[in-house]
Amino acid sequence: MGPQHPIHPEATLIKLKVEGEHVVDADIDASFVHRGIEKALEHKTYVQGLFLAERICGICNVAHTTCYTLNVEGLAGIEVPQRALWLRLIVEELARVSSHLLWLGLLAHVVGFESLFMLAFRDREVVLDLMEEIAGGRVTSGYNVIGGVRRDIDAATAYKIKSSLAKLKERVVKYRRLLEEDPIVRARTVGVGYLSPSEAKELLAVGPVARASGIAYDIRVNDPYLVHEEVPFNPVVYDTCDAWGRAMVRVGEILESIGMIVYALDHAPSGEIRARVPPVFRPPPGENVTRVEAPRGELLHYVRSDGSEKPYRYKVRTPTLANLPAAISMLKSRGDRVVHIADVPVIFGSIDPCICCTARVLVVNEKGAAKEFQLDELAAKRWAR
Amino acid sequence: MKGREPSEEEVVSWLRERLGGAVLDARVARKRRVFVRVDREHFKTALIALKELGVDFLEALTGVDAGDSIEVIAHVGRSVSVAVETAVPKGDPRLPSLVDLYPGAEVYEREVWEMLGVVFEGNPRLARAFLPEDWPKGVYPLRKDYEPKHPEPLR
Repeated sequence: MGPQHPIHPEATLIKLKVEGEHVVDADIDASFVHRGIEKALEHKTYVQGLFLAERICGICNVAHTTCYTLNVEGLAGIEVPQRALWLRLIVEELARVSSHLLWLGLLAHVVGFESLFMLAFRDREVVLDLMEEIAGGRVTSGYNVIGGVRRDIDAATAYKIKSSLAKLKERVVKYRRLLEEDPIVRARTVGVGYLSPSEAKELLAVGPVARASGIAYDIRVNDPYLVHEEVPFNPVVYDTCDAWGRAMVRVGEILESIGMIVYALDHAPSGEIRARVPPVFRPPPGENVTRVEAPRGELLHYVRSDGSEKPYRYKVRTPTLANLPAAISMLKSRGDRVVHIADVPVIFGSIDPCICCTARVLVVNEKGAAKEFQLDELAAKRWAR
Repeated sequence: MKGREPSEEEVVSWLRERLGGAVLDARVARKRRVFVRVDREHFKTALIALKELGVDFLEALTGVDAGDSIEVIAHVGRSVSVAVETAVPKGDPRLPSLVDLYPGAEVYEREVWEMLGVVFEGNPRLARAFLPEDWPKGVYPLRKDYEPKHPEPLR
């Protein structure tokens, strides 16, 4: 299954072994867009590396910069002003809302619910406009810098954010009810992509995939990295273990995130937003690990310094990589749980990779003859049966 | 020991108790961060001991080229993140696979194998997953002796 989308770091070719309509085995090939960013980061100074880290992923760029800045600040012992941490939290949650809305739209597209696809993307614009207002960039915001954030949020912007989000909240509540009740969505997602809690643990699933399998684990609760201890929220956990549960977790998280943003806007302390950091600095030799709850799950950055102005080693473990073994397990038919080829986009989409990557499926029969399907054809095929 | 997550100090004392002299270094770097260094023979033993203690989630495997040797770091834990580090010589880069402990470790081991050439003995699918199909054998891009070609900037 491939090919891949150029903006996504985890574009993946999934090789499927099928018996008729049933998928029996799968393997991954993530080589197409491997850009060697970890190696490149060894050749950049810490400040230059920030801009590269931001471009690891287009959609979760805020998660990557949050993780990178916290990691380097921890390594170099840079004190960040309190207000900057609150502002980082606001922008991170806003990015989560944007990412989950995008995902909701793509899920709707895959199950053939085009009007929900349109609605979700329309609503994502609300968030992108707010992001532009706050940071200057709609998608790649460039908001976090080493030592703090780039811009402050003033009272007028805060008012605008709150009024836009109030409107958005109403709509998301409506979508949640729709996911709960709509027969099309339920027919395509309930029971599809089953991942039992024990499998989720063994296969090291993270984020919404794990939380939809009943594992109540969220870095924001277990390892608070910004000011999460002071902002009330509830991790969303479902135990349905299927694609529907993953959808409900993400929609629930949108609502939680909106609540967190509004709370943070009201309670953020005033003060400095940035500690001045020289463009080239040398952290003492050492190492640091930072974890962030990205929209797709736990994101881990590891850095080692040898005392020079460039990192000796910089390691990034993205959540989609962690979820790939789980996705492969979901794709295999076992016993009564038959996986149809038409379910593959929904299942692979349910871990929230860039679903554009799954735009084509290559089916090879025993004689070696190949036939390619477009994603839409697959969706239609399911309905024709 | 299941049910409650062990604290940073409990992790360090438990490892020292179980592995004794095999623990070369163990320190609590800050809140919820523990760094442990063990010798190569006790890498897997340390992870088994941690699993018994309740530190039972593998977050990532990192490989670092440290000159004559390659360091492999297993990041384990939920709230407390424990980095278990070990070094293997470049002449004989072998480690036991963690797949029987954590089935999901397969993909992480493949990555470290491809990027740094550490062979995880017992991994059922140590095959190419990240590098291009025509990548030369025996070239490991994250080793320090590999220099990527830098394209000239356009002027």
